[in-house]
Amino acid sequence: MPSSEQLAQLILSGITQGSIYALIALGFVTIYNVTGVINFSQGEFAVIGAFVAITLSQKVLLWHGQMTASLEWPLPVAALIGVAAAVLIGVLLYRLGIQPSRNASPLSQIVVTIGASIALRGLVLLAWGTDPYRLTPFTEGPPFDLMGAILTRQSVWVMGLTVVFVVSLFLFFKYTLIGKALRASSANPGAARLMGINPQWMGLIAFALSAGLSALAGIVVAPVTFMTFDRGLMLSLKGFVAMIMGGLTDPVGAVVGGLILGVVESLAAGLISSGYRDAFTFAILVVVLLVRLGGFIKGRKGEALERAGL
Amino acid sequence: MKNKLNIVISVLAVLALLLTACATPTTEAPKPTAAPAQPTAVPATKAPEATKAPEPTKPPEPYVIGAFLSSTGPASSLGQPEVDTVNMMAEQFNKAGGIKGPDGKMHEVVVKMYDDQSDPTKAVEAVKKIVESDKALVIVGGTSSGASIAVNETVTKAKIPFISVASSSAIVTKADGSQHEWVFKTPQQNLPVAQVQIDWLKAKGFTKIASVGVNDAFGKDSMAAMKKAAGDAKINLVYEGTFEPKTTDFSPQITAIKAAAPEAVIVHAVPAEGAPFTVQYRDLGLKFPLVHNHGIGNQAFIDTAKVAANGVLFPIGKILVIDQLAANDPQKPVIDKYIADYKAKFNKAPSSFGGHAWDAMIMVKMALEAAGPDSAKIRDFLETKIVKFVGISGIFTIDAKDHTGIGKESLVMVQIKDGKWLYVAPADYAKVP
Amino acid sequence: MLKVDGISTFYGHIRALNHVSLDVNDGEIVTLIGANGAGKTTLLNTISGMLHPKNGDVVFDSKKISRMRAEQIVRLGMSHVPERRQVFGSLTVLENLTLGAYCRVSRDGWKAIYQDIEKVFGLFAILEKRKEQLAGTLSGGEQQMLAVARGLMAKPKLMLLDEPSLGLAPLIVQEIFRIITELRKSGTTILLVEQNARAALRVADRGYVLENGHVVMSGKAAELTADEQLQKAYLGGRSNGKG
Repeated sequence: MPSSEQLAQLILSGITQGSIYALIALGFVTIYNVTGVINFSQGEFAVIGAFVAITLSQKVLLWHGQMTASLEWPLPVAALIGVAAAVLIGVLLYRLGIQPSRNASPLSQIVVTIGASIALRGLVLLAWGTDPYRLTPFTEGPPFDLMGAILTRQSVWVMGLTVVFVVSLFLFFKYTLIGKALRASSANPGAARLMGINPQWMGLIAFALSAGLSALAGIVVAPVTFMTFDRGLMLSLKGFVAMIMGGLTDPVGAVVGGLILGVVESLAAGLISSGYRDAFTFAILVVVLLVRLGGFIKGRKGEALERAGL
Repeated sequence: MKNKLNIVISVLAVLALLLTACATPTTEAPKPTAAPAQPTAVPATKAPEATKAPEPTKPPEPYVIGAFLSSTGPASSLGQPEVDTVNMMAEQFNKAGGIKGPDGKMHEVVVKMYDDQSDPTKAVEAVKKIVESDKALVIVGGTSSGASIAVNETVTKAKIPFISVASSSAIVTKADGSQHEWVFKTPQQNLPVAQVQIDWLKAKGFTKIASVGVNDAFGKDSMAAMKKAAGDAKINLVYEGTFEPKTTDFSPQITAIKAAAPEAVIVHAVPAEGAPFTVQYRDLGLKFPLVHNHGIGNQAFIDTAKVAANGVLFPIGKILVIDQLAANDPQKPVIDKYIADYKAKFNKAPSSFGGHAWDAMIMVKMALEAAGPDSAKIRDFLETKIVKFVGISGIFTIDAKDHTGIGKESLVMVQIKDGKWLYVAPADYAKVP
Repeated sequence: MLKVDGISTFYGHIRALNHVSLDVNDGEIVTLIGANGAGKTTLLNTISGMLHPKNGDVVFDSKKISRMRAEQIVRLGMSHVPERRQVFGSLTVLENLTLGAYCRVSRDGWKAIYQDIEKVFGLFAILEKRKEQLAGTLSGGEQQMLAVARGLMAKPKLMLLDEPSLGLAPLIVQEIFRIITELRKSGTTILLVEQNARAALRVADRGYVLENGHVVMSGKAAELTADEQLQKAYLGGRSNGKG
């Protein structure tokens, strides 16, 4: 029987992991709602953001040791450039991959994003190799004791910044003109065009926003869990499962889904076996799909009815 | 939008495909070094001696050595120095005119090198190519224990001797304790490593330990060795746990270790998981001494774990601390020369993993000199004629009952301090960490 | 103000409009009448840039707009209130109205837009009461008013209204037509598509009759109302039928 301290510890680390899944899921939902694309390079943005920030802020060997980066810029500057790099790649992905294929089926567009993620992973592998990298924690110092569970300072950063990012994003959607235009565009793209809202511009913003959000997630978690070139796929997958748990289009649901996923995984790994960590993710996916299967169909019909004005 | 269900299901199908590809994480990535499909023959400095020699009608046939190592993938921090060492050795042999076979002629050495990408399946594919199309006389390789074990059947069927550079006892030892006929290995077994760790625990007077390792062939073998050695020494394992390869969050294991309150924690991993584990262990504020096994003995561990590496203890071959050992250590001349050669060529210090490859290549050279291009004779040579051979990893004496040939005496205890390797003499065990 | 010159529009291989021409002059209300599937909505969509004609030209305010996209055309001062309302259901009434002025924010500033929202509330009192409500929760009539109000927020020179009375109760229909007359008084030019031909002709200056993608008849509203054939086909004694 696990002690209450052990449970508290597992839940705390689950929330830390889940925060990252939540941010990535939010990126998924943003892009899906505006463009109808499920963007599987979402996790790669987190990897790229983290790697750029690591490279600019500490000593790193690049291109198989042929180059040494020792810029050691302050972390906020490095993080900002990391986010900017991911945003740029997000914009390029939209311009070069998604926009030209906008008349293709959603599935073809998803394949485009999967292709992009494979290419990006290869690029990261070439530049940074296969070693895990760690970003220096934002603040040094001993961890906090919370009812016998240990909470590292970086975990506090992860949870705090996740709240800040999520709230900022919701404020952005609620109170800015662009935010409202993005929501309008996802509610009814045709009518949005009649308001003068350019759907391609909205798609671009959605990709930029999601890429930036994922990069932030990658950067805040890199001091806790390290970053390796191949983490993107798993992050995408977890974000995608969180998105489905939240009902595919609901940003609040995606955040909640991400947190639940993180906690369940952590409990499964701690109480049953670490081998079951990912197995539980997929078990959740299956269960949610079975339970919500009807939900999706109803949602589809509901939308069709709405379109028909009934 | 209009067909959510279809999209979700199709995406899942695509993902299923991607996840199966996940097992080979670098498949799609461009290979920085040798492409697995086309072996890169080592740039043989095309035997200048051969032209100087009094015009033989045609040059003697080259001796082909097959090699498969992990220059990419999670084991690459181990594999890359091995690749470098194998290439360096082949170049040295050829600079000297090649290997002088029993026929008295100098034979050029050709290495057919493959990257197994830290993947046992890829390793088997590579070995099949080495056997079938390259027609190698002998094989060196298998960075990871998993890869080394996986190719056993192939080399045995082909009757080609294979010298592994990985450590699991299962590479050479069958379930009944006898040795696989065609397989040898140069690194220490995990059992002597565990025995050195136990010596230290006894010196400290510890009786309660936690044992945690990566859930793969290497980690499981090392954990089993620890369990056996601890049982022999009457030391209790108050916690035993595993984590999956490529894990990034170790808090479940660390939490459980904290709850079990051991006197020391023994970790069985390579830097890819060992470094993040160490960092999170320190972050979560656990104070029990941290002891790793020989899997982490390379610079990548220190580079990744940084200050968290401070104080970590582990048994390893002498190469890491040779400058701190007695000047009359019998291995010192050999290790010093290897370090000098490696530094001159690659401008960095070699690791014990490169040393395993060095040992294997020298054994191969000796076998080819004595047995010539005959795989069966090479095998017989390796099993009977490697006696008191002074190598990098230890002083080898191989026989039919032991295809490893070195034990506990070849290991030293090392502590990491401020990014440096520090030798800990057995007399000082009680004083560290 | 608007000149449609011989346009043909296709859905794939199906010709939905065949050589249609019409004019709308400054300050006029012009109505398009015709049965379901006659091409009325297609014509409005082609004018507003949601569809592009295969041949022919659309000229608005002496600019050729037939190759421009919908989101560009709205900036020139043409507002299209689409059929079946199409309000943004998951946004509030106020947000819907704000987005109606999306293309004006950079040009006119927020102050002017808030003033216009107040003006629109003067015209549609019910919307002010509902301003924080999600548009999707409004009744059909309220949604129609919101759609028209949202269109007005772009301060258009020309408004395209597609079936504003569709599916609404008679009282609400009266209200909608009252508003259309008021808009005209304030100087907005209107192109009105209606199946409720009788009511449309009552407020309109001129009208066009579409049948199978052709203009089959056009003229002053009074003349059309008096036309015997038309009466038989479209005005057949019903005041607010569905055609």
